[in-house]
Amino acid sequence: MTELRISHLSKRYPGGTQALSDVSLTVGPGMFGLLGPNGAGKSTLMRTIATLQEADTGSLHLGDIDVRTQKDAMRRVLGYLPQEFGVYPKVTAWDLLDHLAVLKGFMHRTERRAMVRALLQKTNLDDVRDRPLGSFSGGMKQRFGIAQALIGNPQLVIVDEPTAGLDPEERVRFHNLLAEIGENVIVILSTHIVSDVSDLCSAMAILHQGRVRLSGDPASAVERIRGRVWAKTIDKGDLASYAEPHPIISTRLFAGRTNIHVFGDARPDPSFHEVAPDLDDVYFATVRGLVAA
Amino acid sequence: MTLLAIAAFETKQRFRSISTYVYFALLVALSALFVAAGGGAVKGAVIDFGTGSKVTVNSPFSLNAVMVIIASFATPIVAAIAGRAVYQDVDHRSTALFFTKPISKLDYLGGRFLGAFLVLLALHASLGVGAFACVHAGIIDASRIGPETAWSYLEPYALVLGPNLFFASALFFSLAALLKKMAPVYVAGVLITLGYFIGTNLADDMSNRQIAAMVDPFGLQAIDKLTEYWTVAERSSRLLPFSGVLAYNRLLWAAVGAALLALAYARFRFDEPRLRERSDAAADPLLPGEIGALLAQTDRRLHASSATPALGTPAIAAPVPIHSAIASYALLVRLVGLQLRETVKNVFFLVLVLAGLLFVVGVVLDGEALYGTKTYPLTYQVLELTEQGFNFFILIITTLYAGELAWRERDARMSEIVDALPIPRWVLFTSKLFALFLVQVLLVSIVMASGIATQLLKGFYELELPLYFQKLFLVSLPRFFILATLAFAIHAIVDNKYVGHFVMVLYLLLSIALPLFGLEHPLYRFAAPVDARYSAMNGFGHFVAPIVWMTLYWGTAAVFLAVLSNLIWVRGKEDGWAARIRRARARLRGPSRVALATTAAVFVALGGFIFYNTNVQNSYRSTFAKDDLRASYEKRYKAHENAPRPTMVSSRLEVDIDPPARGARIRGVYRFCNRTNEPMATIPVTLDPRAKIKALEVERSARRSIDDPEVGFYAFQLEPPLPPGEESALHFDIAYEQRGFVVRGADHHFVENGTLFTREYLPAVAYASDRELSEDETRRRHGLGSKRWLPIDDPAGIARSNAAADVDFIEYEATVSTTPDQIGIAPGILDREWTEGGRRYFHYRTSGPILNFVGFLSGRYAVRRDAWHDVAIEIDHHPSHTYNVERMIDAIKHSLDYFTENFGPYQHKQVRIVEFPRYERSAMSLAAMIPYSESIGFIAKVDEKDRQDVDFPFYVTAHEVAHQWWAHQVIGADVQGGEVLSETLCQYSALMVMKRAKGEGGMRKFLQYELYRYLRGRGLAKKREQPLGLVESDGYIHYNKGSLAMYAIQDAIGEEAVNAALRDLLHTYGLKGAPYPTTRDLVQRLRAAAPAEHRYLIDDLFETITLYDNHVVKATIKDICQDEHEVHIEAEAKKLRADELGVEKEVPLDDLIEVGVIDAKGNVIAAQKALVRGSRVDITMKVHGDAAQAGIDPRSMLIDRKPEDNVMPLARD
Repeated sequence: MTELRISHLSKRYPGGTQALSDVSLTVGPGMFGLLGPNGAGKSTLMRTIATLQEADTGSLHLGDIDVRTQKDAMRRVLGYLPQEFGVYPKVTAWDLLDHLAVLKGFMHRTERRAMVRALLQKTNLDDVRDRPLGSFSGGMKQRFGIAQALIGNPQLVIVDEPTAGLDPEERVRFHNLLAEIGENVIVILSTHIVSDVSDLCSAMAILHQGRVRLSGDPASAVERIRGRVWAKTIDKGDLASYAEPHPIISTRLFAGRTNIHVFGDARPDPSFHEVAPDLDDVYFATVRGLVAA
Repeated sequence: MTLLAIAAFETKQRFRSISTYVYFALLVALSALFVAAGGGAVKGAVIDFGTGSKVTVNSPFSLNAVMVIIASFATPIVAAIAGRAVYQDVDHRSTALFFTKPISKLDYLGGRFLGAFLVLLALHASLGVGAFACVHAGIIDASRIGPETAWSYLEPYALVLGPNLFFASALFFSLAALLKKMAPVYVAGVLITLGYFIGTNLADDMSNRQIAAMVDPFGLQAIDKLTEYWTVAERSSRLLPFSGVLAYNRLLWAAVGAALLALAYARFRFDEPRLRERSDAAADPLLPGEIGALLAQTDRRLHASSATPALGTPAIAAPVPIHSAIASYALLVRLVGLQLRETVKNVFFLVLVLAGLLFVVGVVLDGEALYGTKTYPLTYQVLELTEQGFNFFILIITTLYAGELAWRERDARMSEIVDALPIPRWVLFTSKLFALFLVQVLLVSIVMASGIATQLLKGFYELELPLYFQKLFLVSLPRFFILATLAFAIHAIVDNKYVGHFVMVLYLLLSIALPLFGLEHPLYRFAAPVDARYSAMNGFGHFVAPIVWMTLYWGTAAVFLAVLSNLIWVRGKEDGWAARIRRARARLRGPSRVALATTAAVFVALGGFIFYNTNVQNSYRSTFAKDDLRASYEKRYKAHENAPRPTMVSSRLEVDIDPPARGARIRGVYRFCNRTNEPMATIPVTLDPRAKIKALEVERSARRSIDDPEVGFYAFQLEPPLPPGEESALHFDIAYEQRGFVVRGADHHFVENGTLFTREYLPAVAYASDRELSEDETRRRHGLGSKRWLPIDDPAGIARSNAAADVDFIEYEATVSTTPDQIGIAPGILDREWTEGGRRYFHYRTSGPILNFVGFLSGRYAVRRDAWHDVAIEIDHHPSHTYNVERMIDAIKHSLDYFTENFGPYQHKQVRIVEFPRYERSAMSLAAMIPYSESIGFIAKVDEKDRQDVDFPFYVTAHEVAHQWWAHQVIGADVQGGEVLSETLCQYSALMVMKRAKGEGGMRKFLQYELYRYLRGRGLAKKREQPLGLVESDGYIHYNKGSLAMYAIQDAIGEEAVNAALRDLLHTYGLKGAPYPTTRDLVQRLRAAAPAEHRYLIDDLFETITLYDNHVVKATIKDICQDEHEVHIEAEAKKLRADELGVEKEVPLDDLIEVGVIDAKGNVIAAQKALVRGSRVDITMKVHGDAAQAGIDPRSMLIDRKPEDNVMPLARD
C-alpha cells in the first residue's frame, strides 16, 4: 500500500508569515481529513503536496516518489481539486475535460473518450457536457473540478475546501462521490467544516498556525476529551462575564439564546451540565490550545 | 505530442470564436480597400505607399508596402492573441488545473505559442487574400496591374510579415509568460511602435539610415534603404532582395524573438502565486485602500479578525452616515483622487510616459532639419514637434486607461461589493472620467515641462510661456477630454474590455483613414482636429474661431455621450442588453432627461451654426471637389490657350488691403495690345471664382460671349475686333472678403498680420495654364489626360513664357494701402508714402519693364536697411525674428557682387526681403522683392563651427536673388525644359555664390544631398523621367539634377566659360518678350563655350538620362616622408543610359572622371581627372596632409546610382 509521508515540512513566506512549521504526517489509503481555521496553513500544505509550491525544509514522499524532485512522477498519479479555481468560460465541459485528460497523458482517443464519458456520468455532468463552462453553477463547477481530479484513477486525491459554497443537497452528493473513490486511494480532504470530517474521514489531523496540533482518528480524539466538556445556556449579555474565568471553547446560538461549551477537567459550577463531546468540541478545544497534540 | 495537443486545443478554441472571423473579415476588407486606393480606384482617395502613381499595385514591392501597413493595424490583435495564449490561465484562474498535470514547460509554452502563432498566421493570410481579391476584381485601371506570380504575394510574408509576426508574437508571449500580467504586453506594443517612429525619424538624417535599418524590428527601414533608388520600372517588377541590411535585420530580429522565447522558457515556473489571504491586506495597495475608503464613507463597522473567534463585539457608537448632495461631491473629490493615484502610481504608466518623453526629446533635440541645418527651438516649433510625437502616447494612454478605469472593480473582482454600496452612480462614473481627465492634464504638463527643458538645454531662452499654456491647455487639452469621454463611453457601452479597446483603436484608425477617402468634413468626424497653424506673426489668428466652435460642438456631443453612458453603465450583474436598456430607461429621470435633451439641442444648434459658416458663407469643398473645379476650367476652356490672345503692355493697380477684415479691394487697368497679324475679336479673361466682382470690363467690348463665374473664365467679344497693333484695356474692380470661418482649407493669404497674395488673385488676360491640375494621378481621377508640355520647338509654346500666357514684360505701377500700423509692400521702388482717411498709402513704380509676376504684402514689420553700391537693401521682418537678418543681407551682397560681375547688370535699385507667415513654406521672387516664409530661413540655426553644415538661409537668399536675372530678365518659353532657364540656372548661381563665399569644402555635403534627392525623386516619380533639357516640371530634375549638372559642367569647362554662355543668353533674351528662349538656346551656348573634349558631358547631362555606377575597389596609402604620402586607388566605373521608365543599358565609357583623396573632415585634398575608357581605373598620386579616405569621384559630381561606395577609408600599405 502506498502512503504519503510528510516529514518536517516548513515554509515561510517572504512577508514573514510562517505558514508551515515542522509538519509531519503519514497518510495511508482512505479518507483523511485535514482540519483547521483559515490561515492555518492547510492550503499551503495542499499546494505543496500538489507540486505547486516549494517548502523550505522537510521532505515529502508518496510511496517511492520523492515529490520534491520527481514532480512529474507525482503529477501523473495525482488528482487535485483546488480551493479556488477558474475554467475557460467559452469551452464546453467535454472539451476541457478531454484536453486535461490529454495533458494527463492519455493519448489514445478511444480509451480517453470512454474515460471522460464515464467521469462526466459519475459526476452527473453528462447531460451538460456540451454546455460552455461559463454557464455552470457553483455546484456544477465543483463537480467538474472533481471530475478532472479523478482523471486516470489517481493514487492521491487532494480536495481543498470542496464543500464551501455548496447547498446541502450538493454537499451530500459530493460526499457520496468522495466516499466512492475507493479504499486504495489516498484522499486528503482539507476543510474547516468539522462535519465533513466527522462524516467521511477515518483519519484526521488538526492544523493550527502552521503546526499539527492533533492527529489520529476522529473517534479516539473525541474519546480523549470525554468527560471534560460542560455546557450551559446563558443570555447574550452575560457572555462577557463568563469569558473571564472559564475556557469557553464554543458558543452557539439556539432559538435566540446562547449556549456555551466550556472545557475543563471538573464541572465549573452546578449550573453547567456535562455533554457528550463531538468533533466540534475537539476542534475548538485543540485550536484554543487546550488539548495537547 | 503533448505539445501538439496543446497547440491543437488552442487553435481549435480560437477558430470556434466569432471574433477570429470578424478580425479576418475586417483585415481582408482593409487590405482590399487600401490596395484599391493605392491603385487609384477609389475616387477622392489619396494613398501613396512610396509607390507613386505609376508603379503597379501587384508588384512585390507594392504588395509588401500595403500589407505591411495593414499588418501594423493588426498589432493589437497580435498582442491580444499571443499574450492571452498564456495569460488566459492567470486571468481565468485555471493555472492549478494545468500546472498539476504531468506536462513539461516545453509542452505548455511551446504548445500555447505554436497554437497562437498558427492562428495569427492564418489571420494574416487575410492580407494577401484581400489584396488578391482586389487586384482581380476588375476595379483597378489596367495600367496599374502588372504580371504577377504566387511569389509576388508570398514573398512579403516570407521576408517581412512572417518574421515580423514571429518577433511580435514572441515578444508579447514572453512578456505575458514571464510577468503574468497583460499590462506589459500593452506597453510593449506601444514601445515597438515607438521604436518604429524613432527609426523613421532617425532615417531622415542620412548618416543614421544604416542604424535605423537595423533598429527597426519590422524591417521596413531596411527595405526602404534597399529600394530607395529603385525606379518605377523596378518597383513594378523586381522581387525584394534578401540581402544586405535586410538580411541582417531579419536574422537579428528573428534571433531576438527566439531569445525572448528561450528566456521565457528558462524563467517560467509551474507554480502559483500565493493566493491572497484576507489578512494579508498590506501586500495589495489597491483593494484595501479602495474598499476602505468606500466603506469608511458609508458606514463604520469593526473588522473582526479571523484569528480569534468572535466572542462578541463590544458595543461602539457607530457614526451616522451622511447621504446628502454635498457629501456626494465630497465623495466625488475623494474618489477622483483615489482613481488617479491608482492609475498613476504604477510601473507601466511610468514606463509609457518615459517612453513618450524619450521619443519626444529625441525628436526635438534633433530639430527640424533641412539640408541638415537645424532651426532655432522656437516655442511653436518645439510644441509642434513635441505634440506630434507625444500626442500618440497621450492617445494610447487615454485609450488603455479608459478601459482600466472602467474595469477596475470588475478586474479586482470587487464589483459586486462596490456596486451594492450607496454611492450614487453618477459619482462613481464621473470620478473615473475626471480621473482620466486629470491623467491627461498631467501628461500635457509633462509635454510642457519637456518642451521647456529642451529649449533650455539648447541654450534658447525665449520661452513664451503663455503660448505653451494656450496651445496645450486651451487648444489640445479640451480635445483630449473629448476623446477621453469617447473612450470611456465606449467602455461603458461595450461590456467587454478587449472589444472596447478594439473599438477605440478602430475609431483612431478611421479618423486617419476617412480623410484619405475624401470624407473630410469635420462636422461628422468626431473630435476631428482643426487644421490650425500657429504663426509668430499672426498668433492663432483666424483659427481661433473654428477651434472654439468645433471644441464646443464636439464637447457638447461628449457631454451627451457621458450622460448616455452613465445611464447604461453596468451596475450589479445585469449585463444582458435587454436588461441594460430596461435599466437605462428606468434611470432616465429628471436631470438626465434634461441633460440629454439640452445637449442634443445645443449640439444641433452648434452644428447648424458651424455648417452655416463653413458651407453657406464659404462654399465648403472637399479636396476632390476643389480639384474638380480646376479640372472643369481646363476641360471647358483649354482651347483658348493657343487661340490668338493679346500681349500685356502695362498694369496699373490700386490695392486696398484690409487686414482686420482679412480682405482686399483691387482696382486696376491692364493695357494690352494685339501683336498678331489678324484682328482680334475675343479677349479671354481668367479671374479666381472667389472674387466679388464690382466691375470687369474690356474697353469697346459689346458683350461677354463666355461668362462662367463658377470656374472663373470670361470671354469678351469686341465689336469691332481689335486691329493688329492696336491697344485696349481691361478695367476691373474686385474684392475678396472672408465671411464666417472655415475649419479646413482656410485661405491663408489674407490674414491679420502678414498678408501676401500674388497673381492668382488678380485677373489675367489669357487662359491661365498655371491654374490647371498638375499631378497626373489627380488629373486622371478627374477625367483628364496626363499633363504634357509642348515639344521644345513648338511655335505656340515659344510665343509665351512658361509662367503663364499673360506673364510678359510690362510697364507697371501700383498703390498699396493698408491700416496705419502696417506697411504695404508691392514690387518696385517706393516713391511716395502718405496717410489719408485713416489709411496709409504707398506708391510703387519701377524704372523699366518688369515681368508680369507681382504680389502684394501688408504687415507690421521691423525694417532693416543696408545698401550695396547704389542698390538699397531692405529686410522687412517680424520684429523678433532677427536671427538670420544679417546673414541674408550678407547673402544679398555676395550675390549682387557675383551676378553683376558675371552675368549682367541688376535692373532695379532695390532688393527687398519680406517675411510672410509660415502657412506656406516657400520663398519666391517677384520684381525686386523676395517674399520669404517665416519658417524657411528666418529661424534656421546655422552652426558656424561646422564647415559641413549647409548655410541654408544664405543659399536660399542667393537662389532667390538669382531669380532677378533668371526669370525676371530671362524667362524660358512654355515648352519642355522651360523651367531649366529659371530654376536650374538659379541653382547654379547660388552654388557659385556659395562656393566663392564659403569655399569648395562645403560643396561636397550639399551636392550629396542634391544627388540623394534626385535619386529618390526618380523612384517616387509620378510620371516618366525626361532628360534635363526636356524636363516637364519635375523638381527632382530641374532643381536637384540641375544643380549637379551645372556644377559638373563648370568644373569641367571652367566657371568663366559657363558664365560667358550665360551672359550671352542674357544679352540676347533679357527683358525681351516673345519669342522666349528654350534649353536648346542654353545648350548651344554652353557647347560653344566648351572645349571639344568636354562637349560629351553637356550632351549627357542635358539630352540623356545618364548615370554612373562607380565604386572604389581598393585604396591604400604609403608614407614617403613626413607630410607626403603615396595613395594608390583602384576603382571600377560603369556608365549607364536609362530610358524614361528607368530601364538601364550600359554604354561605353570615354569620360573624364575624377579620382581623389579626402581628409577626415570630408574636404578633398587631392584630386586628379582621369580619362576612363575601360571599366578599370588605377591611379597613384602624391598627397600632402591628413588623408583619410580615397576613391573615385570624391566630390560626388557625377550622378551615381549608389554614391556611398565611391570612397573608402585608406588602408596602410
